[in-house]
Amino acid sequence: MKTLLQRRGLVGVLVGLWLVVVLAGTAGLWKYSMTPGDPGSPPAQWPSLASIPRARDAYTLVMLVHPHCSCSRASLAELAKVMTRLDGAAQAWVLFVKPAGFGEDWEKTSLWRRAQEIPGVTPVLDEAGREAALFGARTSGETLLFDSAGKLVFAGGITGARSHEGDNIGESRLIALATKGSADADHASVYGCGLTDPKPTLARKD
Amino acid sequence: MSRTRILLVDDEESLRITLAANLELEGYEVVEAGSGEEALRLAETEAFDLVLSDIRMPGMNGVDLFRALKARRPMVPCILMSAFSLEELVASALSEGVFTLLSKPFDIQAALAVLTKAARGPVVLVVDDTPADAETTASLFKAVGLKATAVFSGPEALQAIIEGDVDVCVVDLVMPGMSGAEFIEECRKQRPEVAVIVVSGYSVPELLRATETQVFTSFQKPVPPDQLIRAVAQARAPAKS
Amino acid sequence: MTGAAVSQLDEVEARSRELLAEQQGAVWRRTDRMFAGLMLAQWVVGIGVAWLISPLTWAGKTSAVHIHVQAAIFLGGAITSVPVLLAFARPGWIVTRHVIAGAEMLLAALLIHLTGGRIETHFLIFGALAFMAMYRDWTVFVPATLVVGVDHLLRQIYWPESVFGIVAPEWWRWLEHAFYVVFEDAFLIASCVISTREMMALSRRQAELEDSQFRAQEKSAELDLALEALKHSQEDLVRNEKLAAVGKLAASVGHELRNPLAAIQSAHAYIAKKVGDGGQAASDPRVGQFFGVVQRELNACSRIISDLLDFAREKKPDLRPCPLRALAEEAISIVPARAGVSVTNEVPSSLPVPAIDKNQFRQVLVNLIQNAVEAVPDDRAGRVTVSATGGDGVPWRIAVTDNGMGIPEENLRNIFQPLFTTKTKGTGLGLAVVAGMVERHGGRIGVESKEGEGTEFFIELPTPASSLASGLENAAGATRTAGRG
Repeated sequence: MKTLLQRRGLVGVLVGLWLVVVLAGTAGLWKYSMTPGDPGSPPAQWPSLASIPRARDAYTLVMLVHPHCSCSRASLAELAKVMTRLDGAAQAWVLFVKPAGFGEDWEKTSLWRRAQEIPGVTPVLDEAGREAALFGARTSGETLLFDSAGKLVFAGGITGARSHEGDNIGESRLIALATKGSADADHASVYGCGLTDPKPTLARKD
Repeated sequence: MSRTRILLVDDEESLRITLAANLELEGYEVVEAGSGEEALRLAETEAFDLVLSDIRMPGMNGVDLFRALKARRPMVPCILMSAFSLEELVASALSEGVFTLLSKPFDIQAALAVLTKAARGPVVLVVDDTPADAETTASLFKAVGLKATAVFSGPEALQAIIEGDVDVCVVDLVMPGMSGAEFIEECRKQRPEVAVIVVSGYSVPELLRATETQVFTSFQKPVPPDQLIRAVAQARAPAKS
Repeated sequence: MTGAAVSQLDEVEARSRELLAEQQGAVWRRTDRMFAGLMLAQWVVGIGVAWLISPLTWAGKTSAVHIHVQAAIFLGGAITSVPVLLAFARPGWIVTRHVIAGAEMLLAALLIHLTGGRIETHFLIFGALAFMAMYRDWTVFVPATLVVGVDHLLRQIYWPESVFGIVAPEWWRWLEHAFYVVFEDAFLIASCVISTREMMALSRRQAELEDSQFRAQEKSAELDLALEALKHSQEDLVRNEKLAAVGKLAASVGHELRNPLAAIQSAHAYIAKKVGDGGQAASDPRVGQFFGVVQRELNACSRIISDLLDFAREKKPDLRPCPLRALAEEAISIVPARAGVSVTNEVPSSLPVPAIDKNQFRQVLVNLIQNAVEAVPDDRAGRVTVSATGGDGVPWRIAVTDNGMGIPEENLRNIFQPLFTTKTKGTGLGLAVVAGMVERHGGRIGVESKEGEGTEFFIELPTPASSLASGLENAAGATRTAGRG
């Protein structure tokens, strides 16, 4: 091997190949991070069958999270920032979606504890994804904002990419809508693990 | 036959008188001179058969005396004696026809032998198959007052040596018929006292080696005349002991 | 500036560069290894971090290994692979460290990504940049900054929120980031350049030191040589002065003695003849005997004078072709025979003929043969041989060998010196004369001896001076012909 590498030509070829592989790998990694999750089909109005109460004089924020999704750590970090900015203008619930078949306390992960620590945020267990289905969320980190009348004002993710903290469009829009009442759009891509098992037909992602 | 008259010139009295005495014992008539000038004066008025002179003398030295005497009586043999060998002086004297040089101190008997030989007036024999060359060489010797004869073949030369009074032979090595080497061998057998000087235009060493005899010296043609004459004079000196 | 001085400077400069390259190479190899280790550690840490933060990805009930973990293992591994390979196979090579620089930045970006864009992880970038300075080679900042720049550019184009954390960054935000990187780069690059210059200065100093050390050694060796030569020439000078003095004395004495000797000889000859003729004196045996004594001693005086004069007078040899066998025969016949000692002429008659001064060389042989004959002790049958080889392009070698008492080793060095003799009688000049004559022929004389067994004196004559081609050597100095004619 050593003597092979003595030949400049061979080394040049090797370095070229290497660059290509690395670039391809990096590109793949980026793509993954930038690929948004399934936006789902959130209801335009607060679902009446929801087990969590709706605030009558403030915004209600609902985030749906897969308890073991590491990417959603970023979502929760952004949620903390959002709550600070909203400064009590909204009441937040984080629904931890637990699929059937997992034992006790499967959902009590560090995410749960993190959610507990955020002021104004209450973590709730969503057994078998019942609430998730009601809210039409399919991706962990999906955040829904309802106004005091129960109308859906914002639906989408509040991270810029999977597991990526920092300012992002979704967060800015949500904050704008909650504080100023208007924004350039009312949705944003959501990045996270799937809340439900992957369906065989589900291949496309919007 | 009248006695041979020798003019003996030396400023050193001791040597002169003892030498004169020895010569008289041998039967020579000796006239002494204590200086070159005195010798010249004597030679004007008297005749001599032989001159024996020291070289280094105050006033006129032996070589100048020789030259002066040769001018007057060219055929009288002159023998020089030397204690100090002033090389150039001696060398030039030898090539001008001095019979030979005696180096002091010399063995008296040997010196007497040389004197006897000189008095006889020996001949230099020139042997060369080219007559012109032989004659030219012979005339060289004659010009400085030395007797010389030219012959053109080995057998002729042998005859001349046996019959005549030859003491030095100048031989061309390459000759048709009897070669120089063969002649030299014969000459050695018949007359060993004859000194041989070899001359050649060709490669001498092999021929010299072939003769395997004692040749006095050798020259390559063309031979410088003064060197040849000097060699003859040196050959006539008494053998070193 | 002289040509020599210029080339010396060049040499020092070249050596400085050599030393600098050595040093730099060592630094690069060391730093390559360090980064290889660091990157491997980062890779492992990345896997650990990914596993800790996001081990699984979920979709309802189903879980799978999170893509971050896979990325940490495989992409991280891929990024680390080639740099580590190069660091192992070609440490110190420029491509190695450039690849490492770029890869380190890529690894930092990956770690930032794995930690979800955490601010603190960004510190890695600036830390890693600072580590690059360990290379002391400013060029490594090019790939590093390039990677950071391209990453930012692509993010700005495709994923702005990931960079700036806000939705709509101002157009100049990228400049702010660029500024910090460039700011750090500038100082680090300056530090590298200064560092390299210092290393160069150090190398130059070392090279100069080596150079002056070397020169000092050279000088010292030169001085030693000069000292040796001086000693030799001093010895030579002293010896020559001695020789010159002896020569002058010998010449004057010799000359002065000749005339008185000649007169004594002459007088003695006459008296001997007269007394021998008859009379009372003739009947006394001692008279005759003593006349013999006078003659013999006169001869001895003669010989001594000849020795002195031969030694003093450096006559240029009259080189003529002279067959050696014949000459040896003559010399042998001159040396008085001694009972019980045989002298043999072993010179081959087929030997080529050298050009030598006949009279001088005969004297040389006579002296050597005489010494050889005298060297034989009474207890053995003496054998003296004269031999010769050479000619035809091979140097001549003439030797006189005897089976006498030999010469003790401590005397061997001195026997050719004038006035050195181990005999009770004699001038001590004989061998000095011989040596002088041989040397004037351009040859050399030597001796080999074994005490108690015998001695060999040999004369070597060089070929050009003595070989005969076609024709004779004229004493007037005619041109010598080379090769056989």
